Amino acid sequence: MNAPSPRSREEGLRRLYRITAWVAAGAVAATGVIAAVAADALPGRASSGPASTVPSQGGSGDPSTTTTVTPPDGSSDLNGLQPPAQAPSPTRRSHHVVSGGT
Amino acid sequence: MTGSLASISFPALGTTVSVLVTEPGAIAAARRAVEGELAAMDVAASRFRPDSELARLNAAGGRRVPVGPLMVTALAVSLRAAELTEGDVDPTVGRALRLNGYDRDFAEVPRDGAPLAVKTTPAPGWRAIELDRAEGWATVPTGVELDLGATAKALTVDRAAAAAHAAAGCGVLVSVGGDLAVSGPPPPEGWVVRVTDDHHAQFGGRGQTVTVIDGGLATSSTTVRRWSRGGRAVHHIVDPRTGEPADGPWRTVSVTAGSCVDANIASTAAIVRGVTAVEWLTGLGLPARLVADDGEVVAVGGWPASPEAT
Repeated sequence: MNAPSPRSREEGLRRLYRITAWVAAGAVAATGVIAAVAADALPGRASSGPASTVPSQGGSGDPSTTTTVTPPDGSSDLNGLQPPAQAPSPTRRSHHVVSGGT
Repeated sequence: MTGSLASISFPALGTTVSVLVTEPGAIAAARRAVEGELAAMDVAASRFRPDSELARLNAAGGRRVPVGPLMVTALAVSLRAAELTEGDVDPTVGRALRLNGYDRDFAEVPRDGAPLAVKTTPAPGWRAIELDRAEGWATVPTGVELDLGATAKALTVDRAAAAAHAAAGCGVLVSVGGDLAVSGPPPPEGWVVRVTDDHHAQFGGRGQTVTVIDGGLATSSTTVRRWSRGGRAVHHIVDPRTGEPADGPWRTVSVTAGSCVDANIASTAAIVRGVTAVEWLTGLGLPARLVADDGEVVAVGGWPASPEAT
């Protein structure tokens, strides 16, 4: 097999550079398109706090406020421990359950 | 029981589970949903089931082990707990618990025994755990034993409350051994909870009664789940930095938060953290009630002052 001439070698290298540049540019563009599509298609990440609060007739301080909690999934690493929407209130009613050490 | 609530209690996970609903006709559906979550977590994260995913992970000798979605979540929650508490709540305390004598279901742990033969050491630390959430695998280094007890039970409570609410279509409260979460519309008076040292103390225990509207409430205490080795009292809340039972000034800490997981993380960490827990909880804005060994009560973060002696 004959060795390639310096000129043909130079042309081959230039062709290779052009291909590499186009592949790199295409990869960057494709990454952007995929990211945009994913951001639009996937739902946002839920925090460990209340997922939704539907005020009832009594307003935000009313016990009949409906609160649905989304179970934590450990993904909200950057969020701190979340306080409740309402702090507990004292009462003299008979209790429903006991919370103590087990 | 107040108004038209319905409730049912049954044993599970080595403790008592209570399910309350605001529509009595929905209690069966709520219970089924709760039992499903309990069973799933037991298979995933029990330290005492040889066939659990946790047991396989602990026995893998440092090899990468595939884990299911629930176990991925349980591990992620435990690692988040460690990060947010700067290691006060650390899942790598499994070996320390075992060496302290908590090596089987607590009902079977002898309440008295000979001095511990092996000296405990600090927990290896949560940063040693590798978890790939996307691919579903985890690695626990050789010699490290995980215990997810501090967070997996609370996670189960949150998941069970959400599942029960979805199944029952009404307001629900789920309590597993006194750690509880609520979901859906509460009863008109709110969920009325008695906080005390021991969740078995249905009526006689000193404490405080409060209403909870949302999120979760957890109580950690050194007064229960205790045993003795060589005359030395031992309990189940281990300080990861020493491998020994936490030895702070608080015997019981109750916390409310946006979820039972967050409440449990905070109550457990407060026991471990000791005197600085008051400032820490206040800074986080978490309503909490701390009971010192001598019975003094400290309320922070909007927790109502207690009119009762403890």
